Amino acid sequence: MNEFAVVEDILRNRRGFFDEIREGIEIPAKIRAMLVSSVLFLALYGAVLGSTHSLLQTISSAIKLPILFLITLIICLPTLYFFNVLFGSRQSLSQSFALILTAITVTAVLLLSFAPITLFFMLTTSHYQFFKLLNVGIFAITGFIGVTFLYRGMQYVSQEDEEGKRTRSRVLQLWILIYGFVGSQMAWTLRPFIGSPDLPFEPFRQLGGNFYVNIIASIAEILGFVIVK
Amino acid sequence: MEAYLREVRRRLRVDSATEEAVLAELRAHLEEATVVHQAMGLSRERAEARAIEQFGDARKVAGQLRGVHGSSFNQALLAAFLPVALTIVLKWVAIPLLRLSAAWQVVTSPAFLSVAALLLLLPTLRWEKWRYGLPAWGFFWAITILGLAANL
Repeated sequence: MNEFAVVEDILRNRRGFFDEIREGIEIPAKIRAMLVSSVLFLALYGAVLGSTHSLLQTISSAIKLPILFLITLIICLPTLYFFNVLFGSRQSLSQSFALILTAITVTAVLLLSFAPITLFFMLTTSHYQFFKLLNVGIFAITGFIGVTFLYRGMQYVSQEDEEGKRTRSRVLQLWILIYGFVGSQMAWTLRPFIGSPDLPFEPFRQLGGNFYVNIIASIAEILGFVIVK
Repeated sequence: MEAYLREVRRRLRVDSATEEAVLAELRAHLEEATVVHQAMGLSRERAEARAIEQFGDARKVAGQLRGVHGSSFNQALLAAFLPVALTIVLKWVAIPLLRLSAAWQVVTSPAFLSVAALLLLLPTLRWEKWRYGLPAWGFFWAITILGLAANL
């Protein structure tokens, strides 16, 4: 399977794509193609984020952004799989993996589509907090669309498993919430992705703090209330 | 034949203009093959079936046709990917390397860099697959060079 054809398949013909996952057609090839394309797209977007700071930050963010998404997937996959099985799903682990990877691939290609816009702001503005919040917004939009794909895909693929259908739907909603929390905390743990212009390059900052508090502080700085250090 | 064409359409997954053109061409080839088989004495139904058999599985045919015609999505991917990647390379690899070289004094002028960038862009105009990305590439390089000039 052509690595990029899979992205076109997902966006243009999602029903056909989910049908093939349900029927177990070429799942390893699909997983490989989605992994290759999403890692490539996320690496490029990571490079754009890091390129505001330095070459080392560019390389570091290009490596860390795909890792962020893939580790979050690996951490959250067992919860979704076991709860689905508990409530009557007949999906295999590789089908669940492929479905979550679909969400990541959608997010990755949308991030790629935002990359020229992000680069434009990176080249034309030097306001760190603005750039950070712009990217939080972009990740929120693309991530939301990605998990919407996952939600619809899961519903579609397991629509024939009548037992526990409603419960599985609620479990999925809860799981998406957990996935978002794990993802944001993982992003905080792997920071910096952009790199404060006042600080030297570091592959990772010290543990501690909280993603949400930092975002609120950034908004406060843009509005002129405080200065974030 | 209609069912076969519907199956190819379902799996083709290209933009609508390409889809129409590809399916019209495929239909013409199928009709042609059907006529040949009819001339050999087969009924219309059997001739169609034989023609479809010759063309092969709809999924494989759709895949092959997509490989040949389905370039608009790849063009879009390249148009988003390459200008961004090349600007990062210019900013963090090409310019720092030039700074290290003895010729830095010569190439330091934005005029020289702009002409060099333009010369680099020209040959790629022939590279059809990502022609939509070329203006973005030119624009991003221009801003990068102007930013460099402002910081000199």
